[in-house]
Amino acid sequence: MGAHVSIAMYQRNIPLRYRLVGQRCQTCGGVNFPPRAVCSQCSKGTRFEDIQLSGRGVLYSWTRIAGAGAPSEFAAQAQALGSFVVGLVQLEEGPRVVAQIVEVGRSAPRLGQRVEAVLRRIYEEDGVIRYGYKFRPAGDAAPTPPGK
Amino acid sequence: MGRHDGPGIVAYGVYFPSRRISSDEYRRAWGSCAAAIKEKAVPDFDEDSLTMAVEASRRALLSGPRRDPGTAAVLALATTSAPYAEKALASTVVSSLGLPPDIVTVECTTSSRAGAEALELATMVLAEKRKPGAWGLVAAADAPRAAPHDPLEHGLGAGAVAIVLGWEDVLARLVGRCSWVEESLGERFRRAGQERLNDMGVREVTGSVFDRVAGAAVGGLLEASGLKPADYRYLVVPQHDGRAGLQLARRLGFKEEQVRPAFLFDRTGDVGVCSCLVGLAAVLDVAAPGERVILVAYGSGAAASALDLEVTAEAGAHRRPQVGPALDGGVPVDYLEYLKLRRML
Ligand SMILES: [Zn+2]
Repeated sequence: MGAHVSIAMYQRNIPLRYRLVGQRCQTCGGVNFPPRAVCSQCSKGTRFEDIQLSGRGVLYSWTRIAGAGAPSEFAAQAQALGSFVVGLVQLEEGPRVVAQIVEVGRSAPRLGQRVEAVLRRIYEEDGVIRYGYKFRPAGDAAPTPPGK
Repeated sequence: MGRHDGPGIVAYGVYFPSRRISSDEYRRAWGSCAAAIKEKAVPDFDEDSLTMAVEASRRALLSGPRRDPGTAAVLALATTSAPYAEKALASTVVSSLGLPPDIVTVECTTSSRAGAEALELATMVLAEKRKPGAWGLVAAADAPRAAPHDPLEHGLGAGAVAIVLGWEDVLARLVGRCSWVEESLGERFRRAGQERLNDMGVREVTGSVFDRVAGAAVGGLLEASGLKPADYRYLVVPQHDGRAGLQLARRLGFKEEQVRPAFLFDRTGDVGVCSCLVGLAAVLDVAAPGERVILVAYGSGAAASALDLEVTAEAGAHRRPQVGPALDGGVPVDYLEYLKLRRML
């Protein structure tokens, strides 16, 4: 977060950003997300197949980012909401990812809370909307309507 | 029943953003609330019609028989609040759901009738692709905007409905339709480049146009079906305010109990292209096999579509109601938060 990503770079990763497409290592069977050149599990595998991740996981840690602390591309969001939460999510398939946690309001998210991926606007740059995954609290059974 | 042999609705999903603003907040801010709502959903700062369409689509796909997204034949999108005035909208949904790149896409965007148009067009495309397993998706999402000082704004809500169409395991089949358009000026419009709706507010005039156009579509449909209003269990009317649709139903000879189950305006507000489809989803949540449903949608300008649906024996077999759970709950926001979330401040 906070580092400039060109449209071309963003575009290359659309399957992973929009719908969490990960890779399964053909050497060790481990799952990488985001995709790597060399498998992060066995440090050897370089051949992969795409897999569709479930989008389900649990909240491993989190931090709240308030107004002035937000990177510039998130300034408008921080200003409108006062603050927002960024979390480390342990995905069902193993990998941990950093993403915003939405629909937690101003309360403190609970560690170990089940979460599910949703598509949201991440930020806008030069008028172009960058969509991508965020996570929101989920009930015990997926999918969960809001408010349940 | 050979003439009823065609693709139909096999699953559906409904999404409302989790935040709610009540009419009390409008009364506190403006002294009154111009819309007959109790509350309405408020999109989060990072939500728009495309993210909501994706959310409703995921719910629809999870609510029915498992399907490989990569095999979909058609995607019909509907919204009047697209994030781009030029740029394909369907591509965002296709990429987010993993639909195939060679899918037929339709984008209906210029009036609140678009939800019904999308359902009609997707069904027509799918009817051409008659092969086992062929299916399609209708995704309607809307969050219409008007200026905060415009009473029209008070009723404008947000939400999304998605419908999976297919040839097998059909819950409700589209058995007839009638479209009606005639030029009408001044009612609810948004010029190119504008973000906020205008309405000249000439109620007598627009009221009569609405009645004429929506009434003509329903009349044409009844003529084609050879049935009377009493032969239909449900009538789903346009819900862009708390009154006009109910009055239309009465004038057309339908009874309160045919209209009420699908009339949700006080909880949803005006959800634009979704208003008729939310009503249809509410009907599918409770309908019994053999029941007939008319859905009539209306858009200023003016255009109406009436669709004739027949509920099949599949309905109720694996019932998972969608509308109630999507509307229940919600986190209240005050008017100031509302303005910030809707980027009006
Ligand atoms: Zn490996």
